Amino acid sequence: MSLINRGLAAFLFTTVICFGLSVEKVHSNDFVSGAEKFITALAAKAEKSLLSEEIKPIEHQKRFRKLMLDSFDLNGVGKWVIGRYWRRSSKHERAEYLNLFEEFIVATYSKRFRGYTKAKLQINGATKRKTAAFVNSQINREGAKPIRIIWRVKLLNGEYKIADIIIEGISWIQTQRSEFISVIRNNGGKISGLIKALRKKIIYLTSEKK
Amino acid sequence: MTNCASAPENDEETLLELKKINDPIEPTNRFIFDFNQGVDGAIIKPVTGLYRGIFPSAIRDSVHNFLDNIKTPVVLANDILQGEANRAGTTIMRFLINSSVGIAGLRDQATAWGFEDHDEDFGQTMAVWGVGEGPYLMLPILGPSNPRDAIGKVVDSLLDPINLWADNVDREWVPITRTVVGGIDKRDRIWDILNDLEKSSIDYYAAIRSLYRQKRNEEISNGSGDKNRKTPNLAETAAIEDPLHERRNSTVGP
Repeated sequence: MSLINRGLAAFLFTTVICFGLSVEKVHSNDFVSGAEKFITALAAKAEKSLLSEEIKPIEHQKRFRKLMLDSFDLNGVGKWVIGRYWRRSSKHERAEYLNLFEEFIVATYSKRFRGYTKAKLQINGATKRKTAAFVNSQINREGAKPIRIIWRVKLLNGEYKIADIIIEGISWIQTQRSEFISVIRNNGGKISGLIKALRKKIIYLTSEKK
Repeated sequence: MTNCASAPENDEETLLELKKINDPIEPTNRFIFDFNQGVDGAIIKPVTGLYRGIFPSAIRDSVHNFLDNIKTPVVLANDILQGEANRAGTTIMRFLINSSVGIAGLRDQATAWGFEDHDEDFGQTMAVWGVGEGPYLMLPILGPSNPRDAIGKVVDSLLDPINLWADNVDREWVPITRTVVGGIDKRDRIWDILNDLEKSSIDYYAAIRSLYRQKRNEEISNGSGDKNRKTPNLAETAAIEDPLHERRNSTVGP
C-alpha cells in the first residue's frame, strides 16, 4: 500500500501522548497565551499521571478518562463528527451516541498512553483564528524528525477545552468525521447503524488482551 | 427538528456531502480495497513481518535511507518544477552529503547537519500548478490515489534516471527489485500505524480515504498550511476553518 508517511505515524503516535489535563479556570483576558499555558500544563499533568510505569491498567484508564473529560470538548466534537445527522437523531439516540463516543475514545486511546514515557512535548507559541486558539507544539524524538502537533483550543464557559488535535497536518476530528459519516451513510442514513458499530467496536477493544 | 428516519438522497445537504466525500465509484473502490487487504494479508504483511524479524531497525533504516537517496533526481526535478529554489538546494546538499559521508546513502548524515528530508512528486507538482485531484481512486496493490496522483506516479517513474538506464541496458531486475524492496520498506514504516488504525476504526476504508487526502494536502502545502498551495478541490479539509461552529450545526456547543 502506498499510503504511508510520518504524518500518519504521527497521527496515532501522538493522540497517545497528549490527552488530558485538569480544569483550569480562566479569568485572563489573554485568551491565546492562556491557551498556550493550558496546553503546557496539560502536557505536564499527562506526563505525571499517565506516563508512569507503575500504575495498574484499571487506575490508568480511570485517570485517562478524567483527564480527557476535563480537557476535551468531547460533546462538541461528538456532535460535529456526525454532522447533519445530529439534527436527524432523536433525544434518546443522541444521549446514547454521546455516551458511546466517550467510551469509544477511552477504549481506543487509553492503552496507547502507556509506554511512551520518553517523549517530551515542546510548546512553540500560539495564534488566534476566529474563536479558537491554535497552540503549536512538537514532540522531539532522538534521531528522528520532530512530530508537529497543533492544538485547537476553545474557551467554553470560562474553561479551556481542546476541540481538535492536528498532527502533521492530519486533523483528528476530520478523520473521525469521515469515518462516522461513512458508517451512517452505509446504514441508510441512520445513526442507529453508527451506534451499533460503536458498541461492537468498544466490546472488541476492551476485550482485547494486551 | 425533523425526525426523518432516513436521509433523502437529492436534497442540497446530501449533494454537498457527496461532493465532500468525492468518491463516485466507492463500491468499486471498496472492492479493490478488499482485494488489496487480501493481498496484504496473504503476501505483503507476512513478507514484511519476516523482514522485520530478520533485520534490526538500524539495518532497515539504512535500506530506507538508500532508497531515499537514489530517489533524489526525481525529488530535485519536482522541486525545480515547483519553483522551490531553497528546497532544490537542500535536495542537492542531501545527495552530496549522504552519497559520500553517508556511505552511498546508507546513512542520513544530512539530516543531522540540518538538511532535512522532504518529499516531492509530480502529483504534488501538478497540484501546485493548479490541477485538481479529481475523484478518489483506489488502485490495485498501490493503494489510495486519485487521477492526478496516479498520473504523477507514472511521470515520476519516467523521469527516473535509474529506470531509464535499466531500460536501456536491459536490466529489468533493477527496477523490479527496487519496487519490491521499496514496497516492503513502506509497509514496514507504517506497520504499527496500520495495526492500530485497523483495530480502532469502524470504517477502515473511510479512515484511509480521509487520511490519504489530508496527508497529500499537507505535502502539497509543504506543511505550511498555506491555502494557496492546497489542492483546489480538496473540499473535505478546506471547509473546516472552524468546524465546531459551522453554519448549519447550530446545536453544537454548550
